[in-house]
Amino acid sequence: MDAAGKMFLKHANPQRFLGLSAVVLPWAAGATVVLVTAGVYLALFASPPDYQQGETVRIMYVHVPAAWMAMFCYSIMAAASAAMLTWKHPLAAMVAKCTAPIGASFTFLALLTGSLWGKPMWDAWWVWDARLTSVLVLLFLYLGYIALHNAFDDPGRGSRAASVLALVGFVNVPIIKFSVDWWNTLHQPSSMVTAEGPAIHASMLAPLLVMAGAYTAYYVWVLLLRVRGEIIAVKIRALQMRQAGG
Amino acid sequence: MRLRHKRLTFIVIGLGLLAAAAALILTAIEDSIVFFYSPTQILEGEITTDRRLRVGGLVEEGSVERGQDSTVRFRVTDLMSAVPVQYTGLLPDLFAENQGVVAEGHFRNGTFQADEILAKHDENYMPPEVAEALKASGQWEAIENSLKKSGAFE
Amino acid sequence: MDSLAAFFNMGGYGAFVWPAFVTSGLVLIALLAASWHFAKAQERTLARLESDAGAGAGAAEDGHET
Repeated sequence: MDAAGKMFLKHANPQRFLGLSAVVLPWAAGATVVLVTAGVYLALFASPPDYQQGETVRIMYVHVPAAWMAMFCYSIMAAASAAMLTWKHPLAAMVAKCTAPIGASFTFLALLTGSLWGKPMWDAWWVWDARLTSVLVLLFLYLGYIALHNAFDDPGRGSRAASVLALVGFVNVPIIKFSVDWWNTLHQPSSMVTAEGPAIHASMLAPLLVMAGAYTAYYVWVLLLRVRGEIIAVKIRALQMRQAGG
Repeated sequence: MRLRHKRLTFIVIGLGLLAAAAALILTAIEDSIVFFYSPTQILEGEITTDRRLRVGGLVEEGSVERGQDSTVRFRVTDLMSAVPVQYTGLLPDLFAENQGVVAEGHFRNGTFQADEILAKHDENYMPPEVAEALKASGQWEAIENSLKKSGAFE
Repeated sequence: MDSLAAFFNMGGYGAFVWPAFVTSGLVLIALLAASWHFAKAQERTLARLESDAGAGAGAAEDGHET
């Protein structure tokens, strides 16, 4: 195994993770607070209305980062599930399990804020176009993953079954991303990935990117909290079994 | 170590097969995935038009006629062909000439009788002053072109 | 005063903009609070178990390995 791999496994040890995460946690929390404050200020006070959409464009600053994180979290969950199935690594299993509720929350928020944006601009709360439908499928995949995890008495079996679902469902991620290019949809195409660069004026790109940073820092913060809780819960079970046995 | 490689190979091959299956299915049911048809698709007879369907494109410049009791007539164009549309009711706030629109309804005597109009906006975001400045300096064409290349005309 | 009213009105779209921001905040704060609570509860339980084990039977820890 190469040096990077050894390095990874050394830090992927749950005991080491507890020490490392204790150092990273306050930084993630601080970054979240600072970025959310700056992002909300830029989104609500320091950015202009859009030439077409007026003040509703501000919904973009909570809608688009939530949608990005919904897909990012699913990708992390699928990658961690693949690592868990391949190497049986306990930390990978915990990262996948702890990412699921965070990703599900982001997906729910993307759908909800999108609906609040669609009504005034499209004149519809919801349409069954390829983008909206595939994001709804993403929410169901998250919920299915969480349900499968809890459906077995043996946590190992639940974890394996849920991991297989996470991997199978990953097919949906590129479908979401490219749905607006592959098919006619009511949802507009990406503003970030165009031949001429982002189609968003700098005064609107700034709050969007700051909010995206805030959501990412928030994900790290909550993920670390949840994984720490899981690791400590495992230690507690081991201690209790030892005490019961002794 | 060999077992790990076997599991990893299994996962990679499984995902590959799954992606191929998904691609085949999505290609096969493409007609039910698209949200609307373009005027060209309709006029060239690519699809049956004696049913409820959606037509999408731009509201043709200069085609909007407002009639009695909130009835509006306009043409939906994809810059190659256009379909006349008639609609009675409230229009979305973003409804305007040269703006994206999706109409739902059915054809009667060559006119599309819409009972629902949705606005489709493009992916450009900018402050009103910037839009004005671009129009004043003649650079608006570039924006319009990128708008015309976007989803509404496929 | 007028500018404050205009701010909350959001060009007539306040009924859409504000719920989007408020629900996003509420959902994310609720998830953070639940995760925080879970992690702290586990830490407290572990600390209690370890101090029990330490106070009650320090020798049991060593004896267990045999």
